[in-house]
Amino acid sequence: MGEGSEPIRRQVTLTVEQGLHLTPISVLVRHAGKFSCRITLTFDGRVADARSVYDLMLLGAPCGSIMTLETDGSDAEAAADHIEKLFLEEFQVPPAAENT
Amino acid sequence: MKLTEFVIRQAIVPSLKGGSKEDVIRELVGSLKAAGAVSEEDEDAVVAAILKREELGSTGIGNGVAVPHTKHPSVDKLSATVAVSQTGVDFSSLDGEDVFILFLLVSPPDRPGDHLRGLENISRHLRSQDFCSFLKQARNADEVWDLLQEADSGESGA
Repeated sequence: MGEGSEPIRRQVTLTVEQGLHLTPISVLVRHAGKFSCRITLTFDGRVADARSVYDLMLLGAPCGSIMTLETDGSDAEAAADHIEKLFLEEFQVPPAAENT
Repeated sequence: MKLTEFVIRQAIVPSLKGGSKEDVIRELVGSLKAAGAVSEEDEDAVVAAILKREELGSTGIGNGVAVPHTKHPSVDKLSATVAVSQTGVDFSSLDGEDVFILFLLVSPPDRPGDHLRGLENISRHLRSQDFCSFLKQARNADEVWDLLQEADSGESGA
């Protein structure tokens, strides 16, 4: 809950058939932008800011990749829950959910 | 996968004529066709597929760059072209800014890895303001190609 608390780390698996390409990246960046905390994804030794399209494209993560999601800040838990759900839903977000 | 391994040199467009997003995409696919990378009979279908992808969400990724793309059976390997617009194109980009550099990619449907590696390589270089700046200053296709080669040679084992 705010300063001094540990970052939240979770393993997430990318099941998007085409890998982490621009379509899921765009969804991720848009949703990560709704939170104030720091959000990163780590894959194969590389750390990407979840708000940066370029960072995420540089991960080059194929389908099946296991990544570490880390959130740190005041809304870290909500962000972790939300991003984890995006992975589970393969970034298929209904239009109505874009406004939540 | 180096830039020069999937960008078709003969399809480079150093100075785009089109103004709208659709015009520009047509011009780039036309350039790939002229270079023999896409057949004349597939040209319209490739343009339509790229425009359809844009409807899902703009490929204007910020920093004045766009990466319009599609998977299409008209190619048997990742094929791309590079284009520069001196005046800027409204691409409804993620950062709201016009686009000056475009990499248009067409990849075979059964090789998603090639597409990913292409995007990875493009983003590695295009996040560099210097690289973008030099691209915008290129006066012809040869100069663009030289820049791509130089960018490739700067990699270590990529």
